[in-house]
Amino acid sequence: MENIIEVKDLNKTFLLGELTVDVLKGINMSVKKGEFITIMGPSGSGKSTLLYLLGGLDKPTTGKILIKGQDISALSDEEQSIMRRREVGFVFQFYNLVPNLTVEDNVMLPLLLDGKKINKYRDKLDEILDVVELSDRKKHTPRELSGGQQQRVAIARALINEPDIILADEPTGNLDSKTTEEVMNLFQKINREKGKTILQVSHSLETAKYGNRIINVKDGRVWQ
Amino acid sequence: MGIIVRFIVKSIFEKKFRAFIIVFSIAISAALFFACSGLSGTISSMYENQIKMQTGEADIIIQSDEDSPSGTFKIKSEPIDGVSYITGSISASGSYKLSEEQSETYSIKTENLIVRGFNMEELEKLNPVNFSQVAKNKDFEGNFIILSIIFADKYGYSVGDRIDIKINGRDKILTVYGISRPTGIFQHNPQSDTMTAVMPMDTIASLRNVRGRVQTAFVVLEEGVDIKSAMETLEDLYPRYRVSEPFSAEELNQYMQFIVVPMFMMTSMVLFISIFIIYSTFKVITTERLPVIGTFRSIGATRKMTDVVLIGESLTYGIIGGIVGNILGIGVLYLIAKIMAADPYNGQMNVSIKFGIGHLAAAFLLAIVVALISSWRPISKASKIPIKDLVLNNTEIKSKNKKWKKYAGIIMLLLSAALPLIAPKSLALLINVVGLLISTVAVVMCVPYITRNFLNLFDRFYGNFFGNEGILAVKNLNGNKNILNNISLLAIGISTLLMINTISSSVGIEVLNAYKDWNFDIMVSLYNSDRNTEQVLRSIDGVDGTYGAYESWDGVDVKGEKYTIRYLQGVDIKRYRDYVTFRLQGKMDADETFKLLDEGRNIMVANMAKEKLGLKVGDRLTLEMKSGDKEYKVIGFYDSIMSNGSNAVISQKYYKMDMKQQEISNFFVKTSKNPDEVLSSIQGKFTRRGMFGDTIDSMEKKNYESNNQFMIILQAFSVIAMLIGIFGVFNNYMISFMERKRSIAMMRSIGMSKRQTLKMIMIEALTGGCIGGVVGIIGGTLMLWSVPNLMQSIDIPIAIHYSLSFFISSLVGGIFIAVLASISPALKTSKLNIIEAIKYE
Repeated sequence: MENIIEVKDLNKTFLLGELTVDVLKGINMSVKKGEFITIMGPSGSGKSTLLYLLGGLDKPTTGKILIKGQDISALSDEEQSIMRRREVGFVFQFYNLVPNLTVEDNVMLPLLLDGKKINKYRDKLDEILDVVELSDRKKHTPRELSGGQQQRVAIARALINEPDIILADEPTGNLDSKTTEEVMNLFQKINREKGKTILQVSHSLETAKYGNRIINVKDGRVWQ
Repeated sequence: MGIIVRFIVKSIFEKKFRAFIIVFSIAISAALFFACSGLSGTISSMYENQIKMQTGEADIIIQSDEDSPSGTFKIKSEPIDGVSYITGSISASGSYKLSEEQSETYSIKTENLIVRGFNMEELEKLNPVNFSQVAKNKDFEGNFIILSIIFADKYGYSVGDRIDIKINGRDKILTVYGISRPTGIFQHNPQSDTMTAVMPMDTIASLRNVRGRVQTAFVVLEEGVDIKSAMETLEDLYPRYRVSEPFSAEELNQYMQFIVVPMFMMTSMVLFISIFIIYSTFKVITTERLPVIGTFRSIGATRKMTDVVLIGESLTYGIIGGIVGNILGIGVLYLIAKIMAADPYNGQMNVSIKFGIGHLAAAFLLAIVVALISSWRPISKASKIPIKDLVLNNTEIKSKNKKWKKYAGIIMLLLSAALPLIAPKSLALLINVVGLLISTVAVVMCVPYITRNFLNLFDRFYGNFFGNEGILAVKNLNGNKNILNNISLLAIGISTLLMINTISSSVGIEVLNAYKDWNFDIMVSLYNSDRNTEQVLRSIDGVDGTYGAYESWDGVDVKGEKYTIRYLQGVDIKRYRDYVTFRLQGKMDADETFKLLDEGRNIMVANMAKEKLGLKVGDRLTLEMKSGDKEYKVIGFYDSIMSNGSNAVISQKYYKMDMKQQEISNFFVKTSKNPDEVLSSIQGKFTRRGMFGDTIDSMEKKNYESNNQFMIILQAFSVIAMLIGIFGVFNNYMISFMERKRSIAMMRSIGMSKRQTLKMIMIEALTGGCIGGVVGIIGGTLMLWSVPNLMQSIDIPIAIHYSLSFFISSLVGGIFIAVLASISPALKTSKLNIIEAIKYE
């Protein structure tokens, strides 16, 4: 299988006041297409930072991140944005939906940002909402949904542009165990049936069981 | 408690711009309220001071009028109860012929003087002369004269010098007795061509052959004597003369109503905007404070304690705003007084402001009430959140879908449109003011629904126009309360500005139109004018034609009605319309109607007077004229705003008879040459006859300046309303940015570029500004709808002239403000740290 993500000598340093904190130290790793990886590690280990760097939300201090062979740290803001729209789908712990937009509007957002005519994607929307079992909720706003439903909207949004990679930052961190199970089953289904590469950050071994590989991050280093 | 207070104080200082906006809004509201409430007293006092300069400490004045048997009278020698003393004066017209050298320097040949005769001892008691030089050990009698310092300096005179002055046509050689500083009766009016000089009473009386008589008597009362009863006694003693107070506060207050009422209206608009801004800002403050309030509550603070602290914060803003507002108010009052002191007709008044502790206290109280009322609702809402929700940060205050607001807004809109039409005349002022305020509230209440409809419209074509960022912008705007607040603020500000600018320009157009009706170039008034005077006038080079007008500006009361026709003309039906364009109402034939005027006691009435008196053709009016009550039949109506529309026209024949007036009041002069030069020739010809003359251009200019003076103040008020609105818009955009940080970061995380973010925010601002501008135009038009009725209720007729350029500039202004206000949040957005914004709840 080809590598969809490659990380080479990745370093990330933050400045906290006058203090320099090395969050990630010389990380090298690769992810193959179709893998479902759980990044685990204690609080402050740098796992979320790694995920955001992989998604192009932040720039590495040094090192390279190759997505489908392209170094994303060398891209302009415009190019990085296009990469985030087309190649990556994000799912966050706190869902991050736009509260005053309906479910369908929230899901369609990446298409809108990509300059696509959303009317051509109605069928696709229905299909994805079927997958996340929210067809009957598309005219609702996030305020009218439960936590689990909101997270499923976020997953649908991550899928609408058919990216090859889904990045999820503690996607079940805000959910109860039953809803966690539902969401993780959904991720597993997406991974298996749609062949999407999934990288999730999690504290929980329970959720890690749904994936096929675990990457441990500790003190800014990867322990595979 | 101390910790909580410290927390609040710290929070205030952390959000300096927000604190500034609240204090600024409160302070401006209080300042304008203070200025409005103190204006009447200030202007009254300025007029009083101005008049007192001439009348000194006199409490009552006795003068001859049209009903008096003579222009002079004797002061009765018997003592009158309550009267301390009575002194008199007599005036004559003087003329000083300049030397050739002086003529070259000042480009005039003569300097006109009003020479007033006084008994020096009495004048010193009544209105002391402020001498800069005075003759020593000499009595003020015989051929002495006191000059003003301005005159003396100009022509180089000092005490003891001889001066040639022509008084009432007779050459006199006088000796300068003293030089007075320009105070008291010597106060110089820069706009006037005439200076004052004082001579001994007996000398002037001899020159006028009225020894022992006076023209004006100044009555000074003993302390504590009731003026009204003293006036009654004097009216009995001088039955055919006018006994009056030198200064009628009542009349001035009535006049001040024209100025103060519109100012209070503008202040209430500012107040409304301020309350709106403070309310929306306090909603943010309470929302921000909730987690900390939750923490305090969880460790034992009671609901009352946290409420008290929030109310305390509001009170602090109120107190600071009240203090600043009072200081600002004094400045605003002084500025208004200064503007109003430059009266184009009566000259420059001394500027002094008058206010009391009551005015300060009222403005301070208003500031506190505004702060408390505006913040009460957000505080009370926050107070109702259960402690559990506070601690768990489950504090989103869900707003119910208040459909009633929409219907209430529509009903209020209809009501504000209908009120001016159905308001009874007796309550017209109150109802129209209420209507104006209701229209503002209605517009604000309808803003969410108007916005929604606009957004639905924009949604259809924004995609084609702006791409998907346009669609996103429309989606973001839907239901965004901060944007709705911005639209409301822009709408109120724009509608207020639009209303005032349109009124101002309408007044200008009306004034222009009124003077356009006058088809002559110069108006001349001469003492004791008759047909011979007119012949002399016609012989002057440049005078192409004259019309001798018989008219009264003193007012003629309508019997049985509380109404005075301020300007009555007796017209020569054959020649009048060559000089004045007369616009008859309806389909009446002008020739026929004018012919009717001469056929009996018939009258044509201006529209405003018609409305006030509820007249129709055929009605009869009894006028209280000089020769007694006369009944006139109404034969028609016409458009005219002269004397604020309180005017009427009768036949010259009946005017002369009923008004007992044989002298021509004014001459309308036509010329094909330069009117200023012709006027100068006329002045040269009638130098000795005490004439008044002015060109129509100059009269129009003075009238415009007089109106403009007032409009400038109102425009300043509306600009302040807009300014507060703009601050509010800036604040709302910043609040909106803070609230939307997370949403925007999320959009960035799923692929929105910086360029797209900026574009989206700019489209949002453009759309918000555009809707704000349109709603402002709707609101302004609605307000203007009630203005003619409102002004009519205070006896000022005004036709509104709508201007397309004002509408366009309102729209462009709204867009400009919104776009400008969004630049800073847009730039901040582009620098947003996506991870920080997303990660932390």
